[in-house]
Formats: sequence, C-alpha cells, structure tokens
Amino acid sequence: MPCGPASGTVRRLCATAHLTFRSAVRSKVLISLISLLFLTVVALPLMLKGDGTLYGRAIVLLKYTLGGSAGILAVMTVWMSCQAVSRDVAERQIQLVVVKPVHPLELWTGKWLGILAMNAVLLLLTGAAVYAHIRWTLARPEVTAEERARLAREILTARHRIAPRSEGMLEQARQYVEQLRAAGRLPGNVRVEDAVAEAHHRLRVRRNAVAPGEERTWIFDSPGDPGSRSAVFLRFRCTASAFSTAAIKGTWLVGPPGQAPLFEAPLKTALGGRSLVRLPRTAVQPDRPLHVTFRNAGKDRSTTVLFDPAREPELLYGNTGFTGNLLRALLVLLGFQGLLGALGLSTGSLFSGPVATFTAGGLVLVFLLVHTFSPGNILEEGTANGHDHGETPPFVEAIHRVSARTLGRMAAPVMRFRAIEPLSDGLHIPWLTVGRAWLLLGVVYPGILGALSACLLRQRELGNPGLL
Amino acid sequence: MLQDGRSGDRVMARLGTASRQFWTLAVLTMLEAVRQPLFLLLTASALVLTSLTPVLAMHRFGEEGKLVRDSGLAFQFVFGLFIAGYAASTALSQEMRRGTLLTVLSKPVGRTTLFLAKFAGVAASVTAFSACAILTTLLSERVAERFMTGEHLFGHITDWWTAVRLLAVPVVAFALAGVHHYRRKGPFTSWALLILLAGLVVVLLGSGFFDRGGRWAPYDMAVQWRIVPAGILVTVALIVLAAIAVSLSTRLTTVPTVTISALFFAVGLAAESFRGAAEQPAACLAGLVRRIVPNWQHFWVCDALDNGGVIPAAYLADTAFYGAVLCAGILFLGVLSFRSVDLK
Amino acid sequence: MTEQTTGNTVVEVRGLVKVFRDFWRRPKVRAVDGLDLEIRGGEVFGLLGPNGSGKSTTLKLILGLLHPSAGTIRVLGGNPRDVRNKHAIGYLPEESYLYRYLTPREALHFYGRLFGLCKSTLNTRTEELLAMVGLELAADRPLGEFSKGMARRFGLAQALINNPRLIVLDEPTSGLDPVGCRQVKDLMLALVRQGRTVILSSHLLADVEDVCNRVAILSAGRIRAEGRVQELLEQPDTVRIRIPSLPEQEMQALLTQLRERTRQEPDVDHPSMALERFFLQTVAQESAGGEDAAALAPFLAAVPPIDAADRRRGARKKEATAGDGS
Repeated sequence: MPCGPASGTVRRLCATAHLTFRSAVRSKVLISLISLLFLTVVALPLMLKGDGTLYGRAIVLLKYTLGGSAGILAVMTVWMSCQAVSRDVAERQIQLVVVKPVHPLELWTGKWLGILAMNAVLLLLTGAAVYAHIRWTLARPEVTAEERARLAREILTARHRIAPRSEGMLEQARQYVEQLRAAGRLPGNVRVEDAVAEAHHRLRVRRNAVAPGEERTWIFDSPGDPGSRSAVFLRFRCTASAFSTAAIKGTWLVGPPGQAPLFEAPLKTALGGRSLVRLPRTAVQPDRPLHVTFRNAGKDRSTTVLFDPAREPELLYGNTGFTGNLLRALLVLLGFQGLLGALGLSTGSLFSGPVATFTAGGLVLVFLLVHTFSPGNILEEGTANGHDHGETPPFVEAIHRVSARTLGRMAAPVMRFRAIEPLSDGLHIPWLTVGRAWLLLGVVYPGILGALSACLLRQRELGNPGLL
Repeated sequence: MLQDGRSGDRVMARLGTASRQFWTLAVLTMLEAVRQPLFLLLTASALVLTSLTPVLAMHRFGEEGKLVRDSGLAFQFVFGLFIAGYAASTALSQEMRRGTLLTVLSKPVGRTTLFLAKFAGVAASVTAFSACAILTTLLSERVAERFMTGEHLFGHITDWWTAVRLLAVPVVAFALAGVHHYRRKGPFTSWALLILLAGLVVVLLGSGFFDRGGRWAPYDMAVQWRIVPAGILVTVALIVLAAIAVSLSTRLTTVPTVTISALFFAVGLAAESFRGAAEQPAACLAGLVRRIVPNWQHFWVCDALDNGGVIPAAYLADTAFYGAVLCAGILFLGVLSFRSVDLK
Repeated sequence: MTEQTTGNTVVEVRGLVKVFRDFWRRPKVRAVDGLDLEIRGGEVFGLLGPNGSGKSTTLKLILGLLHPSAGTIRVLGGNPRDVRNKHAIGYLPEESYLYRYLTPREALHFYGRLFGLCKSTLNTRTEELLAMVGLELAADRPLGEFSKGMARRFGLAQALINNPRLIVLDEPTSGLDPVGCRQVKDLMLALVRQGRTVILSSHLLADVEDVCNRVAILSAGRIRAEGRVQELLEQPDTVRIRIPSLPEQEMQALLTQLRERTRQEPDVDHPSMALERFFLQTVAQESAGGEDAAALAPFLAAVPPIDAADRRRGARKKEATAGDGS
C-alpha cells in the first residue's frame, strides 16, 4: 500500500537520488573521478613546488590542489548533470518513469540531490586528503620549528579580518567625476557609475602610495576584546616603486592621532610578499577605533612604498581553527557544485547530452570570464577600451557595454562567494557566509532552474525524443 | 607464370576492394562526425571566439596581431582536442555499444581496415575543422589593430569591416543551411559547415578588394600567410590526438576517452619541464613520460612568428614526419586493441 | 487519488489526431487520424495494425507521453498527464528501456518507491514478481547483461509493481520463447479475471486472437475495424462439422449428400493442433518430471483445446451461461 503524500514525495526523491548516485558508481564515473582527484592531490604538489619553502608548498596544496580538484569536480558535475536527464530521454528510460506518479519537479530534484550527494562524498574525500597531506608534510623531520610556526600563524589558522575604513574615497571619486562632466571632459558614451568606479580605484592606488617623508594612516574598527589567548595582527603587502635599488625604511605606528603612539615597529618585509606584525594587547583599545600609520623614512624619491590597493593593510584577530574553516570552505564549494548541477540538469532537460554539456559549459565560462570584458581605462580623454573613440563603431561599443554589464550583474551575486582564497589566506569563513551561499547557490538559483526545467519536461514529448 | 599472374590479379583485386571499403568507411565516418550538432557548435564557437578576440581584447603597443594569432591557434588546439575526442568516441565506442559495428563486420570487412578507416574519417573531420580555424585566424589577424602611417589611414586602425564580414559568416551559414533544411530537408549541420568553410574563403578572397578603412583598393589580401604553417602544425598535432582518441575508443567510452586525451595533451605540453628531474625515481618516471607522451611543443611554434618570423619548410616537414611516426605507433597499438576486443 | 469512471469505461478517446512536425513546425507524419475508442473495464483490448499504423503512438498518447494535436483522451476518468492518475497504470513499452547498471531487484525497488510503496510491501512484491516472471535466479545480475527475452520479462514485472488497474502492454511477447509467450498470455487472462483492464498492442495476430476480448485494427492512423474477436472472425455463412474418422464408403456417402444439398464441393481435412500446443507438449515430454515440466503443466492445462475456433466456441458457451455483463 502506498504511504501518505508527503512521505511519498520523500520516497520518490530518495529513490531518484539513490538511482543517480548508484548509476554514477556502477558506470565507473565515480571511481574515475576519485582516481583523477587522487592524482591531483598527490601528483600536483609533486610537480608544483611553489617557492620551495614549506609555506609555498602549503599554498600550493590549498590553492592549486584544492582549487584544481574543485575545478575538476565542476567540469564533471556539469557533464554528469547534463547527462542525467538527457541520456534518460535519449535512451527512453524516462518513459518508464514519467508513466509512474512522479512529478517532473520531483524527478529533477531527486537527480539534483543525487549529484549533490556524489559531490559531497568527493569533496569530503578531497578535503580529507589535502588535510592529511598538510599534516604529513608538517610531521616530516626536516621541517624546522620556525617553518611550522609560520605555517600555523599564517595559513593553518582562521582569523577574523577587519578592512580599513574607506574614509570617504567614494564620495571624492563622485565629486571628481562630476567635475569632469561639468568641464565636458567625460566621454559621452561612458556611464557615470563606471567612471566613478575607475576614479575610486585610482584614488585608492594614490592613497596607498607613500612617498619618502610622508605618512599614511588607516583607520580600523576595533576588534573588541580579542580575548587573552588571541593576538591581533597587522597584515600587509607592499613593494617599492620600480627601478629602486635602495632599501626602504619605514615605521609602523599604532595609536590615536595627536597622541604618543601605543606601539611602534620598524617595517620588515619581503618586498612583494605578505608580512605580519603582531600588535600587543596594549595597542588595541576595545572601545575605540584603531589608527595604524606608516611613515616612510626614506630620502630618495624612488623609495616610494606602494601598498596593494586591492588588499590594503588589514587587521587579523582570533582563531576559529583551520579544520572547521576547511569544512566551511568545502560547504561553500559544495554550494557551487549544486548550482552547476542545477544548470546542467536544466540544459539537459532541453537538449541532447553533448549539446547540453556545451551550452552549460559555455555559460559557466562566460560568467567566469565576464570581468575580462569589462570596460576599462575610461577616464583617458577620448578613448574607450583602449581604442580611439572616434573610430570604434558605436554599435560595437554599445553591444560590448550592455553585454558585459548584464552578464556582470547576473554573475556578481554568485561570484562574491569565495572559499579557496580565504582558506589559503588563513581567513575565517563565517557560518553566515556559508548560509548565504547555500541560500543562493543551493536553494534560490537551483529552485528557479528546477521550476523552469520541470515546465520544460512537462511540455516535452518524452515519447518522441528529438535529435537536438 | 600463369598462376603467378592469377595470384597477382587476386592480390590487386583484394587491394582494390580493401581500398574501396576503406574509402567508403572513411567518408561515412567523416559524414557521421560532421553531422553531430556538437561538431558544428564547437566549430562555430571557435570561429566566433577567434573573430571576437581582436574586437574585445586590449592591445599593447607593438603587438601587431600577436595576441590574435596566438589566441586563434590556441582555440584551434583546444577545440580541436574536444572535436577529436568526441568524433573518435562517436565513430567507434558508441557504435560498438549500439551494435552498428556488428552490422559492418558481418560484411567482408577486416577489423584493421575498419579501424584505420575510422581514424581516417575522424582525421578528415578534424582537418575540416582546422581549415575553418586557420582561415578565421588569418582574417582575425588582419582585423587586429595596426599602427598605420598611410595617407588615408593614420594611427591605430582596426579593420572593422573585415571583422563584420567575418562575424557575419556563421550567421549567414546557419541561415542558409536553415533555408536548405526547410526547403530540401537536407542535413542542417553538414550544410552549415560547408557554407561556413565556403564563406570564410569568400571573405578571405573578397577582403583583398578593400583596405583597412573599408575603401576600394588595389587587390591585396593583406593577410599573414606565415600563420598557415603554424596552423598546419597544430592540425598535425590534432591528427595525432585523433589517433590517440580513436585507439582509446576501442576500450573506453566518451568521457574517459576525452579525459585521457586531454591528459595526454596537458602532460605533453609540459613534457619539457620533465627534463632535468634530479631525484632518481622521478628521473626514471620523467624519462618514461617524455618517451611515451608526444611533445606538443614541437607543434606549438607561435613564438617563431613574432617580429615577422617564418616557419621554415624543413621544420614543417620534420615535424610532420614526427607526427606521422607518432600516428603510426599509436594506430598500431589501436589496431592490436581493436582486433582483440569482444564485440557483443 | 481520483478514480472517477464514466460508467465502466476505463479509456475514452474522441477524435484523436496526432501530427508529428519537423523543426519548422510543418506537418511531417499524420500518425493518428481521427481515432474514436472506448475501452471498458475488465477486458483485454487488442490494438492491431501493420508497422507504422499508429498503435504505439496511440498508446503513448493514452499514457501522456505524447501530446495530442486534436481530440480528447480520458483515462480512468482523468487527464492522462495528471500525475495522480498514474498510480493505477502499468506500462510495458515496445522496447525494454532499462537502467543498465541496476539489478532487477534494485530496479523494481526504484519503480516501487516511485509509487510510494512501503519497504515491507515492496520487498514482498519484488520477490513475487521476480518469481512470477522467472527471473529469481537472475535477480542480482545487471540489467545490461540481460537477453531480449529476459529484458521483456523484467519489463512486465515493473509494469505490475503497483498492482495497476489498467495495464498497457506494447508488444509484450516480442523476444519471448513460446513458453514465455504462453506465460504472458495466461497472465493477461488472469489479470482480467481479477477485474483489471489490459490494452495490448501487437502485430502477432495469434497472440491477440488467443487473449483479446475486443480488438481494433488500425491502418494509416485510423480504425478500420473494431469489435469482439469472435464476431469479427466468424464466417456466419459457413459451418464446420467435426466427426470421428469414418470408413471410406460411409465418408463418400456423406460427402455425396452434402454435395447434393449445398451444391458445392465440401472442404475435408484432418484438423491439426496449434503449433504452440504441440511445442509445449514436446518440451514437456522432453523434460518429463523436470523443472520445465512442472513450469509448463499449468500452461498446458490453460492452453485451449485444439485450436482457436474451439476456444471461441468455449467462450461463447461460457458467456451464454454466465450472461454477458458488458
């Protein structure tokens, strides 16, 4: 006897998910994937040594190995999900399913859950392998205590991050663009928002260049009371201006303006690399913002210090543990796989397997590369995208601009979630981020795609599979 | 003598039959490959991406089309890899699974002839794709921005008119193939491909009548013909990849075939980095890899075209010979595999 | 689930048209051309026709796998594409579209769970069905390794997993040996005795003649003939008399009388048994006392005596005594 409607739906979802997972296992797709991932986790670190240090090897493991594995899984997820429905339609197994009391949405969702389950298993295995690899590397006798300490301090950690306040740079950028517009110097086909973004970026670059004899202050919100065991670090990346051979000299000062500094430390940095300065507890006041000043003590103009405008100096504090952070990163990656699976199932509901794979893969590539087509360098008079404005046909620019903008808007909500970068940076991935990522990548977008696909499947004549 | 004559006649007759069978099977394989929707999609995508490169990418002063050249050849390589892998799988492993191969082998066709004909058909389809890709790269390179110092043209000039004509080719090809399909019910994909190829030739020949500003000018195609040998080398590499894919298809399905072919591709590109491995086990492994995996760097010589460089005919011949030897070895293994596989 | 029925009608089709179109939406093939059909509960309804006559298309339209271009279809009182209706339907397609990597047991569990069957029910039902179709020994082999006949048997099992009221069978005996064919036919008769309805599509006329109560003959998408099998096949203007063999003289005297009476040359021959019965008897004798014999015995008993004509006579007798309830 059939059971109640709710439990019937659950049974159907579980049955379809189970079927999808089992087919992946029995068709040796799963074992092929595991082999490929194993090769990636084992062979890639052997081939890519980074800078030869333990730190470099750990970065390779986290960024390239884990990232590469996620990439491989992404490709296979797209392919498998495209095949999951399209193959059933082409080989007509779906005829035996849709004559049963299964709603197309139940069928779609069940397959999606099966693909998600497979990804969960593989991500877990990959994460465990990477973790084990790191631990094994740390346990080797040739690793020095200093290297271990650096790794524990900079990578195998999960610190909260505070970015410096923007100090009204955006407002200044708007004012600058308004001035340009008023003076008639802004190209007519350029949107104000794009010009403001460009101006903001330039302001940040200029602000992060500290000439000899100058100072630059960043203001941070207080981290509160970090606790007795938790240290506060200042992390920064800087380089000297080009062609300089003289050593740069500078001092970090921490303390409210107009008062004696609570903490002073000379600048010690590997140029181009990232550096960490530990701030004493006395320098951090729980209820007041933190002022961090860099003073360039150089005399020669060529020793201007340039801080990375994309990642200005930042405050790090606390440590929620690397293992938990790795798990959260894997969950975010799983969310992405869920979205890719939904995309593949949707195209597979419409097209044949290869065409669906091509379409889904193409869409993913376009979204990933959309930032490379963004309009840039628009504040130089009379140019757009590096071409002479007078010569470029307007319709080309219009198509370029509209498509880049539309795609950028569609991709932005998804692309803002990061997993590998914060993990390899030793930054804490909050559960809130994981939740938001899952809400968007695992519920909203797949829900929309699933509903669309269910309509498509319902409209399709599954008794007569077409050629496309 | 009479007996010798008769046995000689029999040998010639058999050769004639085998060559007719080979030709028939190869043509059929090629038709099957180019009629797949995915073939047309990949070809059109490579064409469109190559055509868009000079339009969308930023150029540095002094590049003179290098980015477009390198991108076009890279698209040819990567898309060609997927075309080769998919065509090989359709030609062999899917037919083995569906049982159509059994129908063919029930006729007096030898397995070796069948296997080699399949390879020839796949190689021919890859060559057709490469022809489209090379023509597109030639035209895209002409489109790319140049610094001109002429009477009518001065400054950084992009040949927008050729770009528009080039981008119109796939649109027109699809439209005409659609009309043909509507009126005559002809196969859409193969006609679209044919019109695509013809359209590219027409645009190439026609571009000679216009200068970069779109004005009538004395006939000058103004394309860099030295790109063609580089494209031919990539085509040879794709044919070698096709041989690998066809041989793998005797035992594996589509995804493992394409994946392993891609692995061969990736490892072959990095083959040079295996030279000089210091530790003993790694040195043995690296040496083995270098000997087994084709070194694709021999076929990828885009840098030789910088600053007006040309690829010498001798190098082209040597590398083509290297490719032929590789194909022979790979196909030999493929034949052995195919002869021993059970067809159910 | 809704189970409204219009009287005793299980499937009702009015003015059904199905036109397959090409990519440009131009008509390509008119597979079904104005079909009117009514299938009642508790009967085996046969859909006959040559290849390309629209049999499978009609079945797929009834099951909601295709959309009609015109006309209406009611199945069990509802829309064929309504998911709720599908609880009571079982379907065996013309080809066995199986999940290659599953075993029969796993596949039946999958299909059963789509009906929301509980685990215990499903386990019991699975074993019963596997035994019924003779696949209990192959229950753990992947379906991809099955022969055509085994695949058809499995197909039948999955069509019955939900104890359906309406069973649609498209070429159910295709690929089966004579023993298997007999089993399937007996199964259909048993199902109908339980009050279910079977729609059978086949171009194996002997099979249809054996089991169907009513048939419709399709050609070029239209019904050319429809009715009860015996009514369609009987030749009312001819009589066949069966008597024991007589001595030659008596035989000639009888023939002379008939000749004078009918003014036609009587057709005389020795009746022969159906090939199917002969085959089954031979196989039973070959494996006397073995598994085959035990398996065959019920079917031999069920096989109608001598030939189809006797069967129809038997059926008429049965109807006359029971009363025709339709």
